[in-house]
Amino acid sequence: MHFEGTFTVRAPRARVYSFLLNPKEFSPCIDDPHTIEVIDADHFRGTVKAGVSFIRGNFTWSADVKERVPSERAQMAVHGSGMGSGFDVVANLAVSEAGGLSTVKWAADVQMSGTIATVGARLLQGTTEKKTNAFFENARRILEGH
Amino acid sequence: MTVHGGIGQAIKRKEDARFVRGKGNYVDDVKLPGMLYLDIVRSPYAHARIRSINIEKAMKVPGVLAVVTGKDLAMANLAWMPTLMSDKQMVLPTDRVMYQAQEVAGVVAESRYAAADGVAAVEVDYDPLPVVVDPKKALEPDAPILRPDRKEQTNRIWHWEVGDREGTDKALKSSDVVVRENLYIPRILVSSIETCGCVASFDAMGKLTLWMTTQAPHAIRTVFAMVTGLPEQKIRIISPDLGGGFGGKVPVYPGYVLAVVAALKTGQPVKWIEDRSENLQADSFARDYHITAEIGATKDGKLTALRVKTIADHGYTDAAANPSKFPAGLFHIITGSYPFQKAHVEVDGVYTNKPPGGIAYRCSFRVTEAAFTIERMVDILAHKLGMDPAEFRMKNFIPSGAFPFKSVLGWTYDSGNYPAALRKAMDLIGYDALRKEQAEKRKQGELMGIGISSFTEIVGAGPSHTFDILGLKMFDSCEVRIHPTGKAIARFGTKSQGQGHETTYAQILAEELGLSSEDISVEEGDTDTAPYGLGTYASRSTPTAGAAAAIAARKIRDKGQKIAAHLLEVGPGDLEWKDHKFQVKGVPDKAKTMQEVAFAAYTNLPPGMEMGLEAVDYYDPPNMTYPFGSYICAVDIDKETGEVHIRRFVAVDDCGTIINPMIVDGQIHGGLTMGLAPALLEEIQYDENGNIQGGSFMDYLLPTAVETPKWETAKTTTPSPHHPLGAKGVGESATVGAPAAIVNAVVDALAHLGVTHIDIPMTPWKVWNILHQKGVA
Repeated sequence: MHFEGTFTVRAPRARVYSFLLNPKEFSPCIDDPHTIEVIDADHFRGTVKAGVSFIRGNFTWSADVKERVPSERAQMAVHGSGMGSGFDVVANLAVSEAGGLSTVKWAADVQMSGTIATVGARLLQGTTEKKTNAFFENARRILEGH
Repeated sequence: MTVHGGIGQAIKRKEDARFVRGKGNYVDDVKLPGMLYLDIVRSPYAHARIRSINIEKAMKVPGVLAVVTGKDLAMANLAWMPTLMSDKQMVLPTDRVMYQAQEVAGVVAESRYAAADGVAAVEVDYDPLPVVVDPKKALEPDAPILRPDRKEQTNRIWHWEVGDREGTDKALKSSDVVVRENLYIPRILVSSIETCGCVASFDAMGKLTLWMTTQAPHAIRTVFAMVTGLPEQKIRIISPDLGGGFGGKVPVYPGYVLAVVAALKTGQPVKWIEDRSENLQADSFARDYHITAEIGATKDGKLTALRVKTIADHGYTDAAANPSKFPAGLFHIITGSYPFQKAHVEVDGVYTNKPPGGIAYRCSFRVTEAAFTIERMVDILAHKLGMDPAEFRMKNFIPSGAFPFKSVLGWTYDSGNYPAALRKAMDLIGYDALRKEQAEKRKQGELMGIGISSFTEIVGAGPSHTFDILGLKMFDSCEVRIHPTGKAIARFGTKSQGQGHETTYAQILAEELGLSSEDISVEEGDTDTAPYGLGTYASRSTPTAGAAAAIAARKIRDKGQKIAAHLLEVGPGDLEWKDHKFQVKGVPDKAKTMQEVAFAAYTNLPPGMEMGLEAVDYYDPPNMTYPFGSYICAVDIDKETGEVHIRRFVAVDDCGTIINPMIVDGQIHGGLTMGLAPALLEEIQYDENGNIQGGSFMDYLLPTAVETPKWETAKTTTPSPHHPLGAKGVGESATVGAPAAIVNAVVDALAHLGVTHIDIPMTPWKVWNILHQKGVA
């Protein structure tokens, strides 16, 4: 599955960039119960209790920052598993700034497998979009100081 | 004089007295002291290398007693087991998973809940590998080899062909009209109400009792003995009441073996019951045939030749339950009801990253695929020629006087009268009036279609000279004992899954022995008590075990005649079996009933005669039987939604002598519904990563009473000349015949738009898209 979108926030580009690549900062943007452990600047891991519809459970995940061009773009790969399911995400983001607004263009290729892909296939797209929107709304609130 | 419950009587099913009161005894009803529960870790990936399996956390889950992995099994040489087609399949993988939902480890615990928690705690580290879901891509040169364990480094499992290749080529080239079509018969699942499961228990003497959901308990016991090394007399398999089988309970699934291993490992009984999603995602599948067919005719509408090429997607192992000689089953019944002079059929079995496929879902070994293909192609050709499909069939049927008829692909049809069945169906549905109505509706822009399917089945395997499974010859058996009071018990090598054997067999014996069917108990499914047999599938029970019942009864009659002669003080040759009694010829008042004879068998025998009154017969049929039928379906299509509405469906079946008309009707009603299902609803699909799409009943659509039309059934009767009762078997006919009738009707409704074929399932979305493309919707 491929997802992409644009997110605009009234904050400096460098601030937005560092926020989105710092687990300690973006952690509150994830609504689902979760833990994050920072191994080093480019490697994180943790758990999250998430799911699709009634198929919910605990997943373990790990993330590697594959590319980092400060304040401009980054690429991150995330692998997770749990509940007889697995997921792999390759996410790209690019940050630009104009007129006091920073714009984040993001795209993610997601591969799901197992129960969540089988039973929840029809709901995955909608659920993923909903969670992504929630994440960026939370990020906007924090970054804009609301 | 008729006996109560004899042949031809529509008596109520004996077994329903317990089923309708919820008193059936299924595997999940078995509860033993100290019984443990097995749950299974399954692969989320369709193809992956297993880097490691960590069971530490699982073993700490309260109630979890053991975790079994492939490495454990490998130490006992049990990681792999043979399939019924002499391929091999994993019980548990040691290094690589081959399809999503494949068994990876077994967790044994004190409760089902603890076992499920244990499953969630097993940590498996996978390294995903390239996935092959399309069998055509699997045959491409650069496709990854899915089974490197085989000597043949290709994803082609086997190539099989039959018929005259060159002759068929020539005949098609010289035909006035040839049509060619690609047909896909999708992967579907039997979806029995009861999923698979077992309870394994070893006694103090090391004897294994395995209550399991199996359609073939005796053959499975032999396979278990061969796989595990346990002596066969130390294995008792009990197949209790089954909530449907339809072919899906013929294979040996890893869960069965794991439960036995777990019982051995823990020293306690172990139960395994798969849940619905496991059943849908991991059990053996049916169909999945990619067919290209060409059929030719003269310009005046006489069929000339048939050529069929097929790719059969078998998943990661060939676990089909086909007779050994026929890797594509009895697909070469594909010439159907027509006397082709030339035909050639090729099938390639192919590995993909899917669960094992190829089971005979309410279908005698690929007969559904064959009947669908020929009945679709005949219809397409009739339309191409501008002939009415009924007229075209009538013109081309095997003449009723041509039986026994040897088909060009090698089968000898026992009996048939195809024009009579079609004529009866046409009369019942009012065919001519429907065609007139269709013409009127078409003028008004309405979409109405009429579809015909005049199918021929082939069922009742053996004969043993041609049919075996893993070397076990295909016969079946009956053992009858009449007690002193004239009541009887009969045991069989088959196993009912809802077919009503307890009633049907009792009726056969009642007729042959002059007893009431109420006085005859029928037992199946216990390998310690029943005679050896190959089980129930492929509509084989009445053709084989039903025949064995008749022959065993006649053996009893032979002895009974001597006892009756002794009682009547006449010679045995002075007696005849008439009106269900031993009568002195020409003196009907001087007679003895079987009850009287039975009492004498234990109390007053002729000198020198062995006590008792019992017989056993292992029946090896001389030929298959060939039930047939003609179905006509009338549909209306909603132009706005693409929804297909079946207005009427007339099914005329001919299964030879009918034992119980009500049971036969029930079989046909169920079979028609199971034929409707793939035509309109059912399909198991996979995404490019091998994720199954349709792993729950939210996505895998079964017909309910709402979607099921009123079935109108009728019969013709053309007895089999070689069966002792003339019976042919009927369990699968309707499932075999129905899909083509429905598709033919839908295509007929759209034929004027240039539509020649629609792959099943014909969902509203698919039909609407066609209408949209044609500018109708």
